[in-house]
Amino acid sequence: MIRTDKNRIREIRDNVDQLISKFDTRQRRAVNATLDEWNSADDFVLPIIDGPPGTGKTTVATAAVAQYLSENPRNHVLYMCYTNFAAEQAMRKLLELGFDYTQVVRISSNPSEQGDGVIGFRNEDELSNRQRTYLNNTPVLVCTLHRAGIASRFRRDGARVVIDEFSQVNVPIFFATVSRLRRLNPRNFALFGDPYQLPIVTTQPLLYQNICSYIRGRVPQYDPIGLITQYRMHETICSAVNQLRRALGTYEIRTADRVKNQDLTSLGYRWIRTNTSPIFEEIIDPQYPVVIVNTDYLLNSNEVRMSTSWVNPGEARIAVRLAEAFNRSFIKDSGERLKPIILSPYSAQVYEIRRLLQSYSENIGECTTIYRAQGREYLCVIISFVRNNPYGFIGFLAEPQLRAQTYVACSRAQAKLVILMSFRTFLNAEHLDFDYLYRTPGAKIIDHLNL
Amino acid sequence: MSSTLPIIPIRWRRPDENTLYENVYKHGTPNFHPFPTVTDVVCAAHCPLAILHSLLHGQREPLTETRAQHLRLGYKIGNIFHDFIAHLKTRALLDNIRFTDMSQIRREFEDFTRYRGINDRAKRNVWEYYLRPWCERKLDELGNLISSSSRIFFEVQVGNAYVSFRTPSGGSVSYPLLGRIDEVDIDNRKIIERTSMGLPNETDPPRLKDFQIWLLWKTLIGIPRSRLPSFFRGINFRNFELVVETPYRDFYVDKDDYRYETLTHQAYTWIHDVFFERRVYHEAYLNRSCTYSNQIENCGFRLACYGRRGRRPYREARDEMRREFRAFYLHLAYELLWSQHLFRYQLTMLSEDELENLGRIALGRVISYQNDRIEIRLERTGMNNLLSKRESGEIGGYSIVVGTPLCGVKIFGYPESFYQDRVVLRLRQDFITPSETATLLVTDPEAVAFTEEPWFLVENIQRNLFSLETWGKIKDDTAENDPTVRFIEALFGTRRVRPEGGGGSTHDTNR
Repeated sequence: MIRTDKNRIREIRDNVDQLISKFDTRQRRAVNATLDEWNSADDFVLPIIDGPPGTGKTTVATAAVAQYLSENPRNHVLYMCYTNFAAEQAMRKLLELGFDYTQVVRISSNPSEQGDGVIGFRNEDELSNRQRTYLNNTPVLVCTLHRAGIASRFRRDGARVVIDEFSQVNVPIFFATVSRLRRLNPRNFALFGDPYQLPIVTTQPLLYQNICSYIRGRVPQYDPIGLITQYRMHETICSAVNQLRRALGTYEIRTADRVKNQDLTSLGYRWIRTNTSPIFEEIIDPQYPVVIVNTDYLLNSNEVRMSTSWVNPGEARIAVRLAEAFNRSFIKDSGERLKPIILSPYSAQVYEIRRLLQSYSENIGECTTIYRAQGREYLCVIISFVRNNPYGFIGFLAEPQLRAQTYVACSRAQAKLVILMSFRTFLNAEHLDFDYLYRTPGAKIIDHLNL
Repeated sequence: MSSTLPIIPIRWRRPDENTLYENVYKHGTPNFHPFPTVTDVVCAAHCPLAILHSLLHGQREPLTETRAQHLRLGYKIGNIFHDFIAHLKTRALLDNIRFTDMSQIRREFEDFTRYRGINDRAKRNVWEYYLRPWCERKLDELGNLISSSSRIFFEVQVGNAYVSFRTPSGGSVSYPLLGRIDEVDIDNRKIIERTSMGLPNETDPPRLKDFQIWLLWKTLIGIPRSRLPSFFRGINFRNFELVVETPYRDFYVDKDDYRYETLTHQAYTWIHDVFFERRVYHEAYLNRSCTYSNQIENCGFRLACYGRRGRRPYREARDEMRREFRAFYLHLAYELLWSQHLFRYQLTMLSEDELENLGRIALGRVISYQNDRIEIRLERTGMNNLLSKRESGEIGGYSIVVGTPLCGVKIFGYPESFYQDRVVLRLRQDFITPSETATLLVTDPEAVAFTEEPWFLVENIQRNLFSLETWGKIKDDTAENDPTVRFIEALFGTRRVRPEGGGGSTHDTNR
């Protein structure tokens, strides 16, 4: 337990102090707000930290947790996320700060997940007495929001509650969580997330709204604490993200000095130019961190409907060929090859690309939907937007709640971003996001790909 | 339900072809009516407010066993009662055990409960009040089981999108319905609904249990013969007897009782209105089945209706919060309609080939079943369907119906290994009952494997929202110091919400 290991507390405190000393003013303010109490006169203190991509939401949240526990070793914290992946990330960050498995535990609903600080169970009666004691005594408990009820049984009265990735926490889920935690008398709820990222998958427009937007709608004078410095992407990629943030009507973020010039070569990859086909040379050249390619002239690049999804065979093929080109051309001294990620908003396109990727004997890259990529970051991202029609129809990418797909996809890239899209469809129908994206300062535009 | 309401059967709208084939973008208000379960229909027949609590507020178990509450047994008595009887009959049939005296059955019960975490007091009460009376009545029948070649199936799931009911005008109308039959005894031509409800001197079946078994029977007889599993195909269920078994008595149900048809029409009207009628809260309240001073004793939702909400003044912003939450309840219910109910329609309205082509199910045959593992040989594209869902990380396990999508025994398993055209699944421990063993011993039965989303999470959210809505504090000082009250009053009332405190780290340091 944390109170019995003074050296470890000191180590955590040192690590946190060191980390916080590197924080900018906004990040420090966020840490302090997270540690504030609800109990002040007639007000309720509800810290909401608006953290755009790469601004270190989870780092700030875990630093606040660590600082709180190093000062109050007898207290408890409940750290919740919507997805298991986000919960794993938070756990990893806490371990990096010096926590060990006696101080942080994650509960999972999969009984086969056991060990390394994880206890998987479906019902409470599956737990052994030893596991119960472990859960009761471990200061930080990490879980998903759906497990809030069970988790609260292992937390002491007055525990702190941190909710990460609130873009996926809609209003009913949030209030259901408040309901489950009410017997715990939580000292506050600190919410971390980016209100402009993707909401949960739902058929109901009313359920798209995240808790931050809801609170801002109800309390107009409420202003969340915004983080403004990002530590993930090259500044040109950040410019593309800022173009999209502008289209979404929110503030711009700035790039930390240490990542301003972060390209593939600065991350340890050598560009073997001789391995690069001249057709793709301009696209994969690391001096262009953002490349936007027009796919109108590709063979077979018309969209094809597959049930409720869409596929673009020409775009799928070029995405895979690009992945292969990156894989062959960028190699580390250790021999490790670059494995780009291909993202698409349409699951049919993802299946098509995965099928093509499987035809290679080696793993040259991965493909997934933009939804699944949320919360993750990749060195090199290729996006296939699929839609290609003369009418400018881009489906849900134009919908108010789901247009964030573009924003999320672009902000996953750290060093290289390649966007494949039909200019006639996306640029000629007043789709603000794509119009802004096209005008990204420093982006390389390839209007005609000579294959 | 008020019997004074006029009976106006609703023309039930089912999903059109495009929706069934998922060629439409699932969005907003569904263009089809719900696919209720037998429990939903019974709940709606019980009370309009009950079905509202069930479908919008995520409340479960509209009718409960009152004696279990008084005895504070604390868990599902009905399940133990039903599972043990299934276990007993299966043991008699499969292991050739002749149960002839009560002490032998008592020992069997001790063995049965040993690994189920049931405490001694509960065990004693379940035996004394439920199982002993039932076993004493049925001792002869149990003793004779071994000598017969009885074919008994337990927990048979039945579903049908077109269950036909007569209308008051002499015509007919059909509704979709899904349910689970406790026991189908082929040789004795009985369909049995077993319940732990009922008292020694009662002359009528427990509330609506006769209606429940009648609905299940109607669903079963409406399934086209070609879509019944091979082990049911040659059987005419129309002339089966319907029996409600309580620990103390067997009640035989009159299949031609017209009251059931009336109840059905009224129940479906309420179910429809819960989803699509704006004034349903008001109408349901006006037509509720009981009042505060005259409550139905075994209603499971009494707390939801007559809880303490009126007597807990804090938080003050209750009305505003309730107004906001009502929209969420309905949209969460629509979410279930688009997922869970649409899937029920697909299972019952599309052919097995169509379902397989859509990637919703995998068809196969049970090869072997041992302990907690089942091996299924899959046909055609089935393996791809299962594998693709697994690879995409969409699932943790599979539901398996031994039988057809419309009729069979449902179990749940986690994939352990895939090889060639076979999959081995480890069955979830709490799902394994002896009844399944019996069904699976049918020679080479057909099976359907599919994945289901965790729909119960939506109901959990509804239930937790409702719980927050009705919760409160009585005293000023308790309310003042309760963070949840303060938070809700800040968000929905007159207090203020601020993103940070007075400045700096004001957190406590010595709690």
